[in-house]
Amino acid sequence: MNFKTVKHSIPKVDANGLMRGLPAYTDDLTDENALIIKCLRSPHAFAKIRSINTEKALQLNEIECILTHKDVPRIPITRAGQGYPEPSPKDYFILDEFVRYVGDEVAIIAGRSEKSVQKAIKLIEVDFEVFEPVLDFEKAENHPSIIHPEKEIYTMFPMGLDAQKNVACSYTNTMIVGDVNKTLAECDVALNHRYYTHAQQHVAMEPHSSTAYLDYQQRLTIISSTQNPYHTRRIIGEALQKPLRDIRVIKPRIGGGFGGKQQIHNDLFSAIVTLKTGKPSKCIYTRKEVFESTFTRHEMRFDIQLGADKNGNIHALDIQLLSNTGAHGEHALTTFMVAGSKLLPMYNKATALRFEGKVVYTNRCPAGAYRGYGAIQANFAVESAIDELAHKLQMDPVELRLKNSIKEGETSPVFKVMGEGGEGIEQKMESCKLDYCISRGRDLIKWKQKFPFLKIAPNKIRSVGTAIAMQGSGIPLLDMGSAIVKLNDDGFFNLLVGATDIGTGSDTILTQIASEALDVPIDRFVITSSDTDVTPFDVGAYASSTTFVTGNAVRKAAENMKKKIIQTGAKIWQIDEKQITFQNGILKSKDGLKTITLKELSEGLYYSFAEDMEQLIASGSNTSPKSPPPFMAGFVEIELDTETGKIDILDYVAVVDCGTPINPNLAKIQVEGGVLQGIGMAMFEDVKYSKNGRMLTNNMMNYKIPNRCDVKKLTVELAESYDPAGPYGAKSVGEIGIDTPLAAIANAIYNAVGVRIRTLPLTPEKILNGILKNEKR
Amino acid sequence: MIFYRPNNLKNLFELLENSNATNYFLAGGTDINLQTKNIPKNVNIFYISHLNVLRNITEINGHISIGSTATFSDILHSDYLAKHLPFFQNSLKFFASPIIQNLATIGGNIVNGSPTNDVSPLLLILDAKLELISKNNSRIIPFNSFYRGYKEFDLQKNELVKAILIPKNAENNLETFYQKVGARNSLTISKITVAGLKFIENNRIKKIKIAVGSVNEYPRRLVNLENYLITKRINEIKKDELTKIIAVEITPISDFRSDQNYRFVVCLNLIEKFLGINF
Repeated sequence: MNFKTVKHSIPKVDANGLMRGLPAYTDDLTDENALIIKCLRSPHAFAKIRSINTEKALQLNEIECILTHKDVPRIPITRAGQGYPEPSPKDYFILDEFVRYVGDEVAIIAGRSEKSVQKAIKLIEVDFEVFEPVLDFEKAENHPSIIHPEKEIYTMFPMGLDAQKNVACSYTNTMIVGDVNKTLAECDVALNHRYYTHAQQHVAMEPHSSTAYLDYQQRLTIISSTQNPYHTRRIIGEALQKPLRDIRVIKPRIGGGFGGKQQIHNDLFSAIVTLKTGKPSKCIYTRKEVFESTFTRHEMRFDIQLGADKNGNIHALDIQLLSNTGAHGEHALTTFMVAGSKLLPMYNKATALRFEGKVVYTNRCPAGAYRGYGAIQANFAVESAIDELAHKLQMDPVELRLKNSIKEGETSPVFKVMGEGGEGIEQKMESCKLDYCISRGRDLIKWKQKFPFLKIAPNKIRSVGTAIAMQGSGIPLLDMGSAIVKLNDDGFFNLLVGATDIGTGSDTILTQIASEALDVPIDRFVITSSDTDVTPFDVGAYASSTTFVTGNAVRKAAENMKKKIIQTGAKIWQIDEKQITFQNGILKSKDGLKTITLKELSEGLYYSFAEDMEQLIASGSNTSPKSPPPFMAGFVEIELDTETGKIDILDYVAVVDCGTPINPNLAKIQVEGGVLQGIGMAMFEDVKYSKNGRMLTNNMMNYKIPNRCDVKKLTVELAESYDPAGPYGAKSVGEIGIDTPLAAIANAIYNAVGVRIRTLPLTPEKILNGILKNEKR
Repeated sequence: MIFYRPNNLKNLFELLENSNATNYFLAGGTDINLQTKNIPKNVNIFYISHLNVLRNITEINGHISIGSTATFSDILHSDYLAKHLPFFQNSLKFFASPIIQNLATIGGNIVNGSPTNDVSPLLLILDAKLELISKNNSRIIPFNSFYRGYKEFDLQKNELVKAILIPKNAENNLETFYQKVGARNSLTISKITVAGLKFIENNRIKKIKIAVGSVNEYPRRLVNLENYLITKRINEIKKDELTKIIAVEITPISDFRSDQNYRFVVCLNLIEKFLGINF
């Protein structure tokens, strides 16, 4: 299909200013007199504040405000920025008498200089009653320490919250298709293994940042590094018991989110300090606070049962999951459910499917949203198990996947049974090039020559591994996006979207969609995202929703604008609309006698058309019963050093079906970034705690993310694909890249040296230990 | 804490003499962030990175002299080193990151005294010496004797490392080995580092030097191992003997970067690799 703007790799529309380092981010935009906010944080993993004395600290010259749990409204909320009613337990108070992890907030301190605030923090006297913390999530349920003993916490719909047992939610007896136990018993080959995935940090370049001020009407304005300004406004309104009309949230440029900014973070602190003092304030987290006191990925444990006949037809798949949500239940249920809903449909030939489990509280840094969102964790477990099954069947793991994976035109009963937080919606795969992705990736990595391994030196083995993945494109009939297109004099347009570009490039691709739909060159658009006073509603940047959900809203808005322009032409020329064309920004009558440029039209509309003067403005909203999944096949070639257990990634091949890539270059770098973050989780990153629950990996020296020397080559290809439900055939692509590296690398390690690692991360220590064990055998 | 930036060496020694607090030298400073908590309040800090007299890389009396404030970028770009000590130079290619290479100094790396530092195993096998200076004195000591314990050095009050001297022919006609194992390929702290030099004639070990980092309280030569290996034929080396000697000479620990067993096994494997034996 031929497009004018869509499917073209234009540069990002915000690149110029960002590359020049011009002020764009939250901290760049703060009032220079803003009070500095810092928190006194808990040194204990679990304790109760017996007493807290702020007198000495308050006497300091520059200190304006110190807030403890006695000074803030006690309203149970959830900080998870997701749909409403929220599918997360409301188990958080702005400040509480309990502290539930090391780094939890004890008090909020605001002052006129950072120095004075730091000094004040040291002068606050706190008497803690320290409890035994719950640090091991496998021992959390029924632990004598109850992390949330408070009576007020609740959920907005039943999700199995049982705080007395440290259970945030549970999900059983629902996602069951067929008779799993019976089918497994009848299988020629069956396996049952336990897998562990660890927590991961987002490590966005920009720390979590928030600033607040009151405007001259005493309305609270918050500028925040948020992925979801509308949810932020709603949650702040709830927490501070303020009508939403009194709150404005502005999202400037964001230096990366990856899900880490999908929760409310320091916005609550800047909002409350500004409301209490009437002064502008700002709270910019340090890297240590980002590590210790925001959110990580959910740690998970999977028990996988998988069964097939001897010909390699998979008949049964059972997933039993235990997830660790840390001190609060943000995204507890939904990440859990995504672990099932984005994995089970991939093997849709199986007749018996089951997915159950629980999410528990622990005294660790809360877990929250993170790119991949449950799917990546389950991908490690299931895609490792698929390889283990292939080995038992003595089948090529690529063949096993080709044989059993979902194809275009097919469906899975899972779509109907489970969505995010509740029931899902049935859908057929109108675009699914997964089989192409698998076979193309196999060719690109040269699987047939390299599988399972090649010994290239006495201590060096090269091997290949694979995994496949699916994600979603927003949440069906829950995610809603909208757009406004406004014509200005001089003939350019404002494109107003609530969708939040957090570095992803969504401003660029949405402008491309508008340009395509309206048939106006791209430089005639000025996009604004996002400001709750100015831009229309959007759920925000999460769940791979923007391209698909907001993209369609932008297309509708732009098409509506095109209609209005043609109607205007008909009116001023007194001819039928059908006699008018609008192409490349020029309005023409079909007989060629009349033409008018956008510039002339807009001048007329706003200055000279007399009674025909009118503001042209069009909007579009979109939600969809569909969430067409992007698919991907990941193939890795590693070189394993048998003397050190170290692996090097020689090449990572990602072949992705994301429908039409609106901007192929941006789609590719979304995948590249995702793959790299997945490799990081697989090999380098690990959130480690001391015995007392203090985070040891709370800086970038101890928490290693991969750097340029760690991956030799990334090969990303986009499959030719078109999804009729998406804007110009597009599906979303934000998350899919991250899912496969965990299992693909684990499988490659097995193929190289026969060491099966079922507990992440895949460290040289585990590999070498496995090699030594195999030698002893 | 008072921070001094002396104009020249003379000025530095005057300031040192007049200081009545504990004196610290600061060169490069890329590791200072980690140590600010441990530095007592009442100290004087003397910044020396800008003193070019300490930064030269030159040739003196058959040695390459590397000034203590030479940065790792200086070292990586030095023609002298490329010509005479290419193994030394190439081994440091993946030291830290380019940003840190531009600032971090070789003297700082040594005197920082981290058991995991990347440079010391190299200097140990290359028979490096240190030129130390104080106000009225200067002396040259073998690098081998510089470390006395964890972060303890053969340095007197107000004495500093002026230069590192490496014999110009230290690498000549020798087989060289350097491998650092870290969590990732660059900008990483070593879990274990092994450096070695050997000369084998008629299948017999004629010359051998092995130094390891990250497995003792400071980087050191494995002298007993060298004594065991010298004059042996490669095929006379016994796995159990090798293991036994190394087990005594290194004392790896488990920490959050790695574990004791891994460090031991990898140390052994790398030494075997260096020796070219495959049991």
